[in-house]
Amino acid sequence: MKVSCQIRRQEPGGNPWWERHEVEIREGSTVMDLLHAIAGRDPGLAFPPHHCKMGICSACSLLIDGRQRLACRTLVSAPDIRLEPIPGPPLIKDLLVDFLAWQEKLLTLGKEPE
Amino acid sequence: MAGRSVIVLGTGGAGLRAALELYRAGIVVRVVSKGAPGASGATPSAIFSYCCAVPGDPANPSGLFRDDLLRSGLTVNDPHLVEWMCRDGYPRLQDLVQLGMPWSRSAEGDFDRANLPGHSATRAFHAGWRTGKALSTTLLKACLRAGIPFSQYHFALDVKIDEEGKIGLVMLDWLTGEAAVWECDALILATGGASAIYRLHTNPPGQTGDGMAMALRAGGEAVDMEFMQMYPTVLVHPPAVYGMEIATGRLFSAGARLLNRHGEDFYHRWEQGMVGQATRDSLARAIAREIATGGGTEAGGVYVDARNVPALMEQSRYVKFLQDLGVDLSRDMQQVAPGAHYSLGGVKVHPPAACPGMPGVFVAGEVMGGVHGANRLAGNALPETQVFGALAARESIEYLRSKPSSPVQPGDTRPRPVEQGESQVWGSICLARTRPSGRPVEELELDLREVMQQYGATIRTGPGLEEALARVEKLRRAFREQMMLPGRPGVWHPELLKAAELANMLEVAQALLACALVRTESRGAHFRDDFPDRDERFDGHNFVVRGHGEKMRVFRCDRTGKEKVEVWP
Repeated sequence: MKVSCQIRRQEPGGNPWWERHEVEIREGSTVMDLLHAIAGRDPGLAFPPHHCKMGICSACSLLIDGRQRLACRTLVSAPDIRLEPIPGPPLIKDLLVDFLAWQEKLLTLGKEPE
Repeated sequence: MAGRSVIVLGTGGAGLRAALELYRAGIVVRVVSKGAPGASGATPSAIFSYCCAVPGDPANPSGLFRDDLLRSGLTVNDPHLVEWMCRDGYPRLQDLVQLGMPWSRSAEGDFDRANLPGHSATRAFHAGWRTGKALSTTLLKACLRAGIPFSQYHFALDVKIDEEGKIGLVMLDWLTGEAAVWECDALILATGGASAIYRLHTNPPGQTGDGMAMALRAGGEAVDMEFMQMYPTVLVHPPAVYGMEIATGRLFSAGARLLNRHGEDFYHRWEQGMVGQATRDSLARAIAREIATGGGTEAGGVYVDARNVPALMEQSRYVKFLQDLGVDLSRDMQQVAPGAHYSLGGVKVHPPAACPGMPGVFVAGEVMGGVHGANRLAGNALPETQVFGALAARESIEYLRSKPSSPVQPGDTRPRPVEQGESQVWGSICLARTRPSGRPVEELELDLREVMQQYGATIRTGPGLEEALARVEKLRRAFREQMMLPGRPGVWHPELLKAAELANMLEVAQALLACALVRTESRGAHFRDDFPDRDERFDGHNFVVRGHGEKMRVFRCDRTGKEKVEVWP
């Protein structure tokens, strides 16, 4: 299926901008699969490189169409999709945030990343 | 001991446990991870249990656990490592209780325990269906509270040990793309397994055998590399769930059917007995054979039909996860194939954790070889991380005590530039960055994983293994002479991480194939179609790998370790 994906990009210390990617993905792909497909053409796109692959570690949390969700657990079901980093933790680049700093903050509050 | 510094590589269960132990002993410890702690490593993905014996429990004594481990290991495992595993599992579980890990308990407060196949006692402690995640979070929390420093997104390329015992790690910061040498007094490798050398595997990304390859390049040894545990029923379709396992345990005994692409039962064509009573390895073999002989689906699997089986899997978060991605066993047939699950082999240790040939280096967790032997029982990976994580730390502390003074001066702890020739891998990567054209690293990696899937997975043959070794050799040459890594300025260089991982995958793949070639019999996770039976002459014998690349050698060793015969190349 053809997907038009809008991504919020940002270099460390720079200003954010929006970028649109048109990509072809297989039916039944996740947002994580979509990111890998985009990175195949634009290797500069940063997103969580490691994650548990089964919906429990939270490292692939993104704002997907404005809602915080897991990229490994969310199917790409519509032809348009908007991706942003989760707000709060320090941004490293593009869609990659400092997951360790995020966990540290939540753990001190007695919570877990969900 | 003041000022002595230890670096721990890896932030799975073993690495975090080792770091805590070192911190408590007053050692300056730094934990390094190629990803983000809490997300990098296989531990959070471990769905279920932690198996251990309980001292004083007549129904679950450590002797019975030991017998189970030795039986499943088929004379291959190291009895000393097995002893440690059986002795320390419960004390380490109690440590986790102290740290606040939420174990599942009855209303009366007793631990809930499950009975798992291959275990002669009810000894699977758990925290519901996310035991690995609970364990990982508990340890990470403790490390963060203690203020243990982490260096994330750092990848250790190579380790060098000088005559004074000073350890230098060639470290790549793959976000910035820069490498430097970090020095320390002792090193703990807790870098995990190597399942990612296969196209289909059940592990999270990043299990590329880094510690194993690093050890082989630094003068260490690897053992039992031919034993790669394959999970028989791994989903291959739809793409979202590629590599996710569906629990085999009660699937077929409950009446689920195994069908080829024509809808025919095929198990009986390849294996004796009923599919309902099949063990994991015979299921994996039957499925692999059916796919290899043309009975597979377009996605490369066979069908599991569990539509008529009520309440097959407990309503866990995992089942919900699969449903979110469109996989529902009660609604549709699913496509599965055998996939790599766990590296039984790994760095050879002088029990419990020291590395022959690498003074000051200690290993723990899946990167270590020898405790499971030819097969691993369910529920034994998590206790392994805790038992040997703590032991590696204790051994490293003993090692530091035995040394009169630290060769690492306070000023040394600042990273220094990498010198020419200090890391061959880094040399190849630097060269590849300047190459204007060539083969992308992704392409080489896919080639390797395909070769391993085809020749090094469930069903192996002599000619197939020879072919695979030749192709790995070619890929290694391509890595050095053709690979290109187009550079970009700024932060984020996953291509460098990929290239460094590929260097390690090539070493591990070669070690695995070579050991599989010389083990001319079938045993546990290793099956040779040209030698389908177990050969007693291999009882108690291990294959030990030394060296790397063209200089790699394989030795056959008996239990005493005295009889060492070079058998490969």
